[in-house]
Amino acid sequence: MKFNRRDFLKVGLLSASALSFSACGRPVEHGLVSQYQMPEYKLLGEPSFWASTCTELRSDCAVSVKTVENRAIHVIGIAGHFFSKGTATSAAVSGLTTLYHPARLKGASAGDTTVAAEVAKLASRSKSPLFVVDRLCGSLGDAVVEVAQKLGGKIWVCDSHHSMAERRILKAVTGRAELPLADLENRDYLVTVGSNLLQESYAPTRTGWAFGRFRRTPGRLRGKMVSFSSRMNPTDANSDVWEPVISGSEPYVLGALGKLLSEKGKGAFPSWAAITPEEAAEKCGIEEAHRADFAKKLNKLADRLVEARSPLVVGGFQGVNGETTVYLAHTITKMLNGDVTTFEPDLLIGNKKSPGDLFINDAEVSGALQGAEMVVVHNVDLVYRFPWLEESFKGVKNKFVLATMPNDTTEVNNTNKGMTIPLRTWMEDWGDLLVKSPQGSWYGLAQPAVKNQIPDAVSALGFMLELADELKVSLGNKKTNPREFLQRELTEEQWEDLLVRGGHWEREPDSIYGHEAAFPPPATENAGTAPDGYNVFEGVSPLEPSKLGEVSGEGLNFIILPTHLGDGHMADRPWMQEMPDAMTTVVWDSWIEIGHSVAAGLGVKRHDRVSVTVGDKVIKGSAYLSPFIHPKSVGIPSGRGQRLKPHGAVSEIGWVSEGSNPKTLLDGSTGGGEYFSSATAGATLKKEEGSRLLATFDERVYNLPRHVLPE
Amino acid sequence: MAPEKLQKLLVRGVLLAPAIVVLCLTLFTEINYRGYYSTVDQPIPFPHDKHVAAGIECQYCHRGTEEGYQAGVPSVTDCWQCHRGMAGDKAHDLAALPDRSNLDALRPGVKTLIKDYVDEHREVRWFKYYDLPEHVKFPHKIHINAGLDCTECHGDVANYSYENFEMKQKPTMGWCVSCHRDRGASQDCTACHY
Amino acid sequence: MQEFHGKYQWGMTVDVDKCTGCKACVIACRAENNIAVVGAEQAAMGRLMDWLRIERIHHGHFPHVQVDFIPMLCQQCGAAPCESVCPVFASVHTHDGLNGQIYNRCIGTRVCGNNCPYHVRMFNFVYPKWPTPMEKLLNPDVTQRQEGVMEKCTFCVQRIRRGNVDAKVENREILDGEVRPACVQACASEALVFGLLTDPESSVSRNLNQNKHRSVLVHNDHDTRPNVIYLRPERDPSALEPVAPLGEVQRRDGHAGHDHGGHQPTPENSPTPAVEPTPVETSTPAAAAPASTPALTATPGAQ
Repeated sequence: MKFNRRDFLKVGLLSASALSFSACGRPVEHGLVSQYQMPEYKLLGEPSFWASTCTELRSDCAVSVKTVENRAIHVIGIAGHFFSKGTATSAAVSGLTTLYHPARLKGASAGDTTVAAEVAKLASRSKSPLFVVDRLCGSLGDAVVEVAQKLGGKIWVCDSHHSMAERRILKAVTGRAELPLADLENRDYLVTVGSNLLQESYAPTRTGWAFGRFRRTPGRLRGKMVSFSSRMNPTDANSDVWEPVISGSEPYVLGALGKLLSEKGKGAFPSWAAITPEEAAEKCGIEEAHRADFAKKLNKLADRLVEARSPLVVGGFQGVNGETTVYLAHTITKMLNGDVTTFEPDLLIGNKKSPGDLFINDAEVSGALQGAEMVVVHNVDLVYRFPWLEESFKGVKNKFVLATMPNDTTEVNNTNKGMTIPLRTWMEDWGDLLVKSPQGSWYGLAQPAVKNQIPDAVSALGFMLELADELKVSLGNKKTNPREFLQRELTEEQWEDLLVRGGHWEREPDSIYGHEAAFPPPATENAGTAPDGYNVFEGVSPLEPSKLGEVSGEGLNFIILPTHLGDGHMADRPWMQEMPDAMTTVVWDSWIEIGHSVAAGLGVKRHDRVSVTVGDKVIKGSAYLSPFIHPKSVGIPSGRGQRLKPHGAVSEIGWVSEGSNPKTLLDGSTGGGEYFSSATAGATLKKEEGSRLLATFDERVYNLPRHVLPE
Repeated sequence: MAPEKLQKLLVRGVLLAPAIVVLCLTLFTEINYRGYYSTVDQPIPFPHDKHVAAGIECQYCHRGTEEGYQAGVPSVTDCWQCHRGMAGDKAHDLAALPDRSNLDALRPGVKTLIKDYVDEHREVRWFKYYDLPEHVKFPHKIHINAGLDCTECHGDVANYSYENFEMKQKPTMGWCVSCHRDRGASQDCTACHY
Repeated sequence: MQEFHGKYQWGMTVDVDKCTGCKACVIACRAENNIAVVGAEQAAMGRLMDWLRIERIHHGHFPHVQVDFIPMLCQQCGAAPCESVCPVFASVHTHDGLNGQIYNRCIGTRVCGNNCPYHVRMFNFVYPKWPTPMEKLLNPDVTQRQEGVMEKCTFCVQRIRRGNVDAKVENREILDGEVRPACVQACASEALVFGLLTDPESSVSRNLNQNKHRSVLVHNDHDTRPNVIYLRPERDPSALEPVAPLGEVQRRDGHAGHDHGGHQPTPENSPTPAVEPTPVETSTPAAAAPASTPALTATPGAQ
């Protein structure tokens, strides 16, 4: 065929004209759909704020979820609220990523009724079911308690703040089973011992606010803070003086303080705990040359506490002897002030009376799991947080796990004939709670801010109501719809108020002491022996100070480092992973934190591979040399270096695959108390071959290729 | 094929290729350079002139102008409030509902509204003419407050029938800035770009 | 004395003594401003996108270690080094004293980021990804940036502009506290205070006046004239010593001798930028009558 220039021009012209014709049609489509919904219409682009209750951490602050076009885009606090003080924690805001996470559990179940019916069928045949829950607030708590009672089962409340332990301790110290409120805004001198109060208190927002006032209130002296711990956590970082002590020796600090205060006329201090400052210096692992200094500091501290107008001594569960630490701290505060400020939240136990034998503590849970035929796990990553329970968990015949995201527990559950049920997040769910505070009481309401993103996801309260219905357990007037159930005792005006404010406060409730039976009676004062479980001299002991000078990697104390990812359940939030750790500035990665002197002895530099061995369990990782940790401690952070199952690979929005669960180095011992300790002794540190760069911002080197993937 | 012929073919192919590609894209996809400047079929042939003549104010339907950033469009419910009482060209009292059997007697636009949207419980997916790009944030509120009439930017809407429509003014940045300059409004970049 | 070039100047005080390092502000900023997650690999390369970060500055060696948490964000400099180097004027100064970043103008030369001594300008080296359905949490008030564009803290200008619009419509000025950036809103300990520095009655001006003796401008040796003022913590290692009576402490001024806590950053331990212990006002308290505008010395040592 001949194709000459004229033909070419014809074709060219034709195509050009076709082009010009085509330009007349088919624009880019921009769909614009009205956002109006009568009668309560929403304007396009204008946000709506839904008052709700955030259940990420312990305090259930009233928050406001900012939504636009039916999408939740921000979480802010509600001003005037007792806890939130108009702010919201990083945990609350990062909950948005969980709400819209691509890997959220979608579930194969056809809906809540089917699942609940299944559970009920099995429940009526099973003996001794065990309910593992992270919280028991309000109506949900009532429902779980009633169902457990009906089935003759047990409840294990395993929140990571040891709230049950704290209650028992306060019952022993004050006679009231309440949770303490760190009212820092009223204090002028603060001593923390092994405590990460500012990150891990019951209400981080309120504690943060109180800390701001504690430090700087015009017209008042700047508050002073002194801290003791084996590794400087973000709370210790704010103190004026931080004194490192060997892990596990925190009670000795308080033992010496208590004795000194008692001698200065502040009342009686339990004799089983009282030691001299010189003894404390030795037990706290202070080097011999500095022991006299340390003893002097303790003396000075005691003087300041006596002079202070309103001191507060706070203990934490960071080390092995956490219960003793907390017990002695509360005792000392009571000695100084006459009381420990407390408040009465019914966050754990539910609104109604409940027999004490329903609740089991950590020390009893292994046995309970082995004997259970049915386990219902509500929003707890059991296998990750307590790896030693994995085998017992696997062996349970009927397992039901309610979770939002895939995790270790859902993985084990799915491969061991369990049923995994997707759970709604708090932004999609109804819920309530009742709290009695020093200011009165308040009622918190969670309402959905967005519609359910996963069609199969069950409402926590709805699930329990359905289950109760199946089991013919009566809860209030028989309403299985969560919203109607929550509305049952309220007037229309109260309900309106709750919907607008996310809670109703300044209301005086009836007495809600109903759970005294759950806790042992208070110990008599000045007892020669410690009340059950609070004996500081049993359990894991600190390293002998004479070995302090050596730099071998033997006989170290292993501790779990607190991070803003909490106990690890926030590891699937990319925002939290990408936020540098407060103390080490590490992102997206796990690390093994060691002191400079131990590192020097082993010839370890930062980023070198090291291994930590406890018993027969090993964890390997990159070393981070830190001035924040006692040389005889080695720390691994919680929540870092997790694998997003079943994806496995490094995901830009999920977890990082390198690193290990630091809890695997623990063996489930309770350090002499009733609750799992987060530290242990007898760890060995060894240098391994090679190194892998840690993603930290300490060195501030940019644009160098680094890998966080495992080799 | 002989080498020269192949070469010729290749050269002409290369020269024509862009035209062919653009032709195919334009005819078979929605990619088009004219964007919002062209007229296009709306899902319902909505005549502004008839509604303005009926006495409806701009803000009755476009409610966001006074309160927000986006003007918005009315929902199908809003349309139905009036149209439920109308059949054909006569406006009956609102209690009377049009019989579905005589849908064909209605005007095509109203028929589409009832058949495809009201009865299906769907919202109308309107084509947005004045669609500013995402990096421009335009609040209607402050412009209405400044006393601007809707027609100053949107043209003589009262005489826009569905067939006879022309966007008088395209919302280009130059036009916005010149008006700002003339009337002493903010000429700060971050007034609109953030 | 700092001159304010316009009628309005937005500013912020950061009280380092109150900052607990909880990082609620960082996450709030992320949520409000559609800041993308860069992922593990990019983060390891140092390419974090956070507009606001908490610098951890530590002094000393074990066991005498002290740590400060310093929120570092765009200082909205009065003499911004980033504005003069942008070849396309994507970095501009607004009439209300902000340093604006116009994303659609930016062509990604990154010279502005180079020039910023605070390293608060973040570049999108990769295309920001929002895997479905995570794009649902995007804020429509804030432009989504694409690859190749510089971004930084804007003092939540979208909230300021909304405040401007509302105030204009209601024919009034913006009230103090009406407009707060996401970080200020999220800060539980009230370490961040935001407002108009040009208004002597605003909370930020009052906070600044009350804490003149410990206010510091970071890196002002470059004469950038930042509008974010940091309040030094006055860390007190003598916490164990008997406390002076109230009156004496209250009259503590900015003399170097009283700087007990002090920042003596050891170079190898404290990454840039370091907070310099430069007193902002060295006059005696009796003479420190608050002027109608807060007094900030532009260079250290100026009397």
